[in-house]
Amino acid sequence: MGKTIAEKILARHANCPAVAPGDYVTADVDMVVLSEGLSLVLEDFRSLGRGRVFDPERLIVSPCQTTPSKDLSAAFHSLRTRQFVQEQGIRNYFEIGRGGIMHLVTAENGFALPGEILVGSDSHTCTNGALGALCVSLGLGFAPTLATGQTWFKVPHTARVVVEGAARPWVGAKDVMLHLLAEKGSDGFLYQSIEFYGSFVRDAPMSERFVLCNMAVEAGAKTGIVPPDEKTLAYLHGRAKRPFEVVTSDPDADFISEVLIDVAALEPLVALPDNPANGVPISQVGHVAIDQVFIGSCSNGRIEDLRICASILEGRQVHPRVRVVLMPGSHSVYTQAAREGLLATFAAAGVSVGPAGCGACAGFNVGVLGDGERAISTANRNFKGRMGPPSSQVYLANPAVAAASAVAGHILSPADL
Amino acid sequence: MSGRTMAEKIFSRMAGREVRAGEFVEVSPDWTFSLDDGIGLIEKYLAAHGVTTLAHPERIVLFYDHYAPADTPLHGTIHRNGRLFARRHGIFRLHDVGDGISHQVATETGLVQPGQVVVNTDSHTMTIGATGALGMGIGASEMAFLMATGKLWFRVPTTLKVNLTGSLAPWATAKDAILSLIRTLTARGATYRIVEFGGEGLGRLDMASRMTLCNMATELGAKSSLIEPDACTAAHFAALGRTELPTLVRPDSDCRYDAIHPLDLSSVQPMVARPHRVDNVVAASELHDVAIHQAFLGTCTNGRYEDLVVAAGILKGRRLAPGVRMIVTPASREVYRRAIRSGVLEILADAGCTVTTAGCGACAGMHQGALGDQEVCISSSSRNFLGRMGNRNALVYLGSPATVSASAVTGRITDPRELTTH
Repeated sequence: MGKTIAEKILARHANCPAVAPGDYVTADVDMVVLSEGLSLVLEDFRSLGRGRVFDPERLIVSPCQTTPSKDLSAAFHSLRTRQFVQEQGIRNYFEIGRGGIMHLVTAENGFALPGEILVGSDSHTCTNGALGALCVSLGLGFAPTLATGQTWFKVPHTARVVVEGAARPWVGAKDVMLHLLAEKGSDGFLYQSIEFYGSFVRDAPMSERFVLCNMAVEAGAKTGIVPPDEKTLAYLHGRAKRPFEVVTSDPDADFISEVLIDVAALEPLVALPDNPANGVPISQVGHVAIDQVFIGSCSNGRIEDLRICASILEGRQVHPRVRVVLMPGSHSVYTQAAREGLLATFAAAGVSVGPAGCGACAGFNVGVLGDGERAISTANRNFKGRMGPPSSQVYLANPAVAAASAVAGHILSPADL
Repeated sequence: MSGRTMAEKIFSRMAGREVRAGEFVEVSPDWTFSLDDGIGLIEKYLAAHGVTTLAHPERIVLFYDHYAPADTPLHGTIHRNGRLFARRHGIFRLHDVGDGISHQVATETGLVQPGQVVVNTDSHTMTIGATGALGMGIGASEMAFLMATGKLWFRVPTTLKVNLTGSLAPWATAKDAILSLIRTLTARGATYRIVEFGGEGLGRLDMASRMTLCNMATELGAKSSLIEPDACTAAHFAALGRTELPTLVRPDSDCRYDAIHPLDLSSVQPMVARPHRVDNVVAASELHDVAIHQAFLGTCTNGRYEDLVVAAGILKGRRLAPGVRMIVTPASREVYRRAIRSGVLEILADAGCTVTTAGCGACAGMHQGALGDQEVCISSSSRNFLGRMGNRNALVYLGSPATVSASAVTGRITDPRELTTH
């Protein structure tokens, strides 16, 4: 019986000839990806008595969730993170103004490589599965991994999601995932590794592949993986921090399920509050007035996303009753957007551009909603209270829908603008 | 009988009779500004006293600058309630998230005319004195009274004149000049007075520099500050398309000043105020072994386009020192737009600056840029009181945009002349 990508990567890292779903293994990890959330496990780490991290070169730390610090608590955790980084000699540290969202910084700087295992504290560590790595969130349980460079896994089952066809205008990976979530639910792929296949995935640029893997966790998946191809290699060319070996699934690998999505049949989707799996085609959303638009996050804060938004906002104005908060996913996205004139377009349209980072996504920084306010967001989660008080509501959509809605003042398909 | 000061003339117009310093007057200000950090409290006071209609909603302008975009559900809700308040009362001027700091927006849009009176729930309202308007800060309860009745009493202040001579040397700025003045006069040097800037040196200071001077007169304890309108003032309004200016209010040549203080701009050097007082001022060069963690460029003191240009001049082709972060918060959306159009923003971002949404930013510790324990910040803002930037265990030094930028490059407080050849 052949093996899936997750099975092969885990076997190799656990030093086993082969593993099967359900097996428990202890695996070496290649990289630990962290934000200032690192500060939250320092007591745990110190209680282990090891003193030093397993390998300072294998940690990447990019404060992004609460930065620039909005209050004392945020400043406290950022400072503790900086101090730990200095004390441990961690060179892969990305201060604000150099870094951004940890997942973007990890990919941009060639730390996420095919066949490797990346773990981290953040739920969306899975994002970089788009590069053919096994990327898994450990939540706040990563202190032992910092000490040992290892963690245990139950080998997940693997599901195949095959996305075929050519997308209609204004439809992208975000819509594919909102559709998948709507079909299968938040627990549709519980503890599974999703491998993405099909002509849509083949044709998709890296920026879109990141979105597929990023949102896999919203379906309950352990991770999402796009098998590496020439696009993956092109992305890694000149970027990869070390040699790597591409891992792909065997033709006779055992997949627990297969889902086929015809992307040509999709229109842009919008996930209604308060669950990412509440996706409906935008034509069925009706008239929903909005107070705020958030553009950014590890889902859709890349330069390609900003280009789409700028193409819609060019020569237009944000609706007077709406505020648009845009946070580029990383500082390099920010500087690139400046160079390309995108920031000028946003500024002219009345968008408020903030610094690179997670921004308003989780309500940890600025862009927090008021009582009863409604936002449309390009992020990946819209749980109750996610971006403000429990009375506020968040709708999820792709960047084009977010930008069109900003102009209209209500949720609108860019095709209708 | 001696002539009248600018302030006496402005109050006389407001009172409808000729008044002198020391008299009490009840006036109806031309403009009533209110900000996001006060509007919630003002609404409470109004509600507690059963006020349902406001005296002059057409004179009220709301600005969201202290914590915009909102950083907490409470602040988000205050913003929302403020919008509803504006709608309910027919207040049609609301500068929402990202528009910028009240004083900057009111000045750069030409909303306030020379000779007019502005009250605002903010200490630095006198920044607008640069255009010859009288700006005064009041508290939230007074503001509620004013909104309800349209009236407020004042004691007409006496005036301290600052006689500017000479011109600033390269890398010495208006910020350094006002810090020098504050060092000499101390934080109580102009308590409840008007600080009026004039003299032959004034003509060589642009509007941005004048705003910095007026802004920091607050730190002398002043009630307000004013600059005698001149060609620069006229040019400011002409650039905004205002061909018809009101009669410019000027002081009479024989008016009575409390004191006249000379300030020779030629002798001004880069200065820095040390923690935790604005009048704790020394030359920047004396602090060269003070290591910094954060540099902050922004605020109503020094967040203007001209300030960003100075920073870009120093940061172009350079990178921030390792371990240093620099936060740049443009004072307004217009400042931000100009910085983008001219490429200044790109230079700052390339150097490693973190550019935030326009507003008050890190100045008062209410928004992005709060400091950690024992951290040191060099800031272009106006205040360095204990805990000002959000942390009682942090140290804030105040300097010019040039000093802030030079320090961000070296990682320690640096006289900008150290990095530049002039």
